Amino acid sequence: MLYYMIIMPSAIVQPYMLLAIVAMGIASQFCLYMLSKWFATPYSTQGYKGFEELFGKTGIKILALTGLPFLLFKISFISISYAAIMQQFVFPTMDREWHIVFPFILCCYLALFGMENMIRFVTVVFIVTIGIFFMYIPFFLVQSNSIHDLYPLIPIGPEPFAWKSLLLVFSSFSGPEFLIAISYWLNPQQKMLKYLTIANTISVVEYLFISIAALLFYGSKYLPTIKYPNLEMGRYLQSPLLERVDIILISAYMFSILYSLALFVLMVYGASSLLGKTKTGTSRVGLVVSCFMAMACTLLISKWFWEPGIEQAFWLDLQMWSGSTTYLLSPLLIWIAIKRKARTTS
Amino acid sequence: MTAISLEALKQRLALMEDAEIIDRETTNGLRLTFIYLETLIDQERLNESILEPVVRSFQSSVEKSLTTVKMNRLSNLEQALQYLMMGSVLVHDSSSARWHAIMLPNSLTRSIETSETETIMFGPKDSFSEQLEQNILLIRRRLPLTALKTERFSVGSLTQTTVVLMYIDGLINPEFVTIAKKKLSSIDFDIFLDSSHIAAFMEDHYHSIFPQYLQTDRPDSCAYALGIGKLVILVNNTPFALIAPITLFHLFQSPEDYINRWLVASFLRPLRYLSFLLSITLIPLYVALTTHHYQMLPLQILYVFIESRSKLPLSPFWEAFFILITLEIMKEASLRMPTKTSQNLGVIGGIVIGQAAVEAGFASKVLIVLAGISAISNFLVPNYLVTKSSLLLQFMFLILSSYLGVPGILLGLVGMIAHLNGLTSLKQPYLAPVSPFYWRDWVDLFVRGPLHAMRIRPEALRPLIKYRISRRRK
Repeated sequence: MLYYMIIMPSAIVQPYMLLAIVAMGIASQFCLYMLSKWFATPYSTQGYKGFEELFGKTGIKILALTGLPFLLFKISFISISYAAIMQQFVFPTMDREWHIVFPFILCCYLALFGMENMIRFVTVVFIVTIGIFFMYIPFFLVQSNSIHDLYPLIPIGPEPFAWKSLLLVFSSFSGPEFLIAISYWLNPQQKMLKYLTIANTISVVEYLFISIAALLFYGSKYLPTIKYPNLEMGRYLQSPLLERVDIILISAYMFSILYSLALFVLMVYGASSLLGKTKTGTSRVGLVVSCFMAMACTLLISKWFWEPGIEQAFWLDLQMWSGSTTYLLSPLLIWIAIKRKARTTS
Repeated sequence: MTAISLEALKQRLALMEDAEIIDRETTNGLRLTFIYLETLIDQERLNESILEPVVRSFQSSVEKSLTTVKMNRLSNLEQALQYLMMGSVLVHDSSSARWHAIMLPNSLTRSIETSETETIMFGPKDSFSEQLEQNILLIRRRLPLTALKTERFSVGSLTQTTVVLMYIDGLINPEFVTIAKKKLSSIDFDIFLDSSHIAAFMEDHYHSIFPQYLQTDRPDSCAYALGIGKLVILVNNTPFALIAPITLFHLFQSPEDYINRWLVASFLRPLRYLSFLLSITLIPLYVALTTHHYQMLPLQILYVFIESRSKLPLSPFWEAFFILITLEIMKEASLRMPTKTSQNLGVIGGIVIGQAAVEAGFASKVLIVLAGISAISNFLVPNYLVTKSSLLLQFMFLILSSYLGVPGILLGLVGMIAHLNGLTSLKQPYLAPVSPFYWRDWVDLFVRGPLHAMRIRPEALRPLIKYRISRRRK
């Protein structure tokens, strides 16, 4: 997840913790392997019918009911975190709630294009995200950089890895589990494991890239004292015409943030329709209502339950847990369901 | 269906002073009546090819008398009137009581001239005219193929405009032809005077400011489009053809791209994209920086901005708004004014905008420079419709930047790209080959790769013949 990528360097404070990224990447590959099993079945292409065959009507309702709070929480967490960053780095005088409302309006517009268009939009988002990474190349070329900043690579001491850091890294890899919900539009193929592996490798490389850049730039002693190392690094980027390039950089993250929000809003709408009695296609009004419901939930948390300090840390912990849980359990659940179905049909 | 009769025709042609009804008798006593509109037909050909041979003829019927011209037998009044209005001469043979139509349209047209809207330095200079047949000829000369099909349609209850759908059979994705035929057949409106009217009825998203059909008056562009698997729609009485399906990126391509050296073309094409981006975001960026993000400017540039804006009574938004509106007024005025007086407009504009506005304290020098760059950048986009659309985009970004600064501009960009992503042209994605992703098509996208590298037709178009080369390596 994008937000994790922004704060991850503050969790990977020792060079040897880079190994945690690789280790969690391998663990993530295991989840992806289970996911690929789902894509290989004919159920994945059948949409609602496929899920109905696997879980039954009641089962789908239970899954939708369970997934809805997770989705709403994810939406709230992403948008409040991003709004907080915007407030801190770009517009300190503007209320955080406005930073939530404006992106939500646009996210609603994006969601109105429907799932098919949103899935296609991913290419644009990917290109922009890769563009952001290029901005960090100068940090590898700073003269004061020393290879010694990346030592020791082998952990020393009785408790080399804080379990929380591992959890944070693992939850950073989460997200692919939501592909289950949109597999109907993805045209799944037998090669899905290959594509998922490539995506996972890119994520590992990206996380390593960002963490190494932060380690080289700040050093392992100073790094733990910074809340958003990745964004703070952006403040040191300059061009002949513009200083504070980080303002553009943070704004550019909007492509990914809005994309994720729009996708999750569509899923919220899907889950709500499954819970409700509406079986007659989709409607724009329903989608807009879902979007406003998600926005109301986000504003509620932001206004009354998101104060810097303990509360904020609590939400981050909660998101780490929920992200890791859904990433581990969703593929596992679907894998078990496929196995069970195969056994009953044979 | 009403039967044809002389009385019925006379009744329909009443109060039409250019309608002519003449009677002639042949040498052997055959009585013939000719009905035509003298403004629509070629009078000289009527005399030489029809009246004179008929009068001298010894044959017993008009069909035998006129063996050198093509005659269409008429069966009802509506058909007769349709032929009459298309420039035919109606002939009534009293001996057989039959009606015939002979096409003799007045070939009044202008000569083939150079395109004024898509000018190029090198390359073919001819362009379409208002005459449909001539336009078809210009394309057929470039693509002498029997597979090049032309299908005729008639649209407009009042104008009865002839529309020709052109495509290369066996190469184009048949889905495009089916969709286009369906759309053309379902058009229901009275007046069609230009191809843009046809496009308006055929577009998938008519609320969008982005054109979904490429309008061109260049036959070479049409021939190239047909060759890569697109279709062309020609409309009678307009020099502008429609090309479909298109993507956003086609609007940034010029025929000259394929004439220039590939490295030069590859340099110029990204410049066009950059210019488009500058034309819509440069002034909004100025407003964002001067309103919200002074800290983004290096100190030396900040001094220039402060000095330039220190005596201005208007906020950056209103300053930019007035300058942009004034610029647009002048651009529109220069289009409507006679050529000789438009030079004066340049002088007045230069003084009013460049000098007086700054001295009067209505605009800063920096904004004047940026407005100039923005206006010039706009002209780098080869498509005129995109140039016009960018104006609205510029205002949208201006409003966003004044309230939300740089994030506002990015918010607008996300919205714009999402909108483009949702658009289709003939039901094909408008942002292809970026979204959906076709990596092979990128050889002719942001850069123009060497022609040798363009061995396959664009995958996004899914043509039936994939390869452009005949001999492929095994």
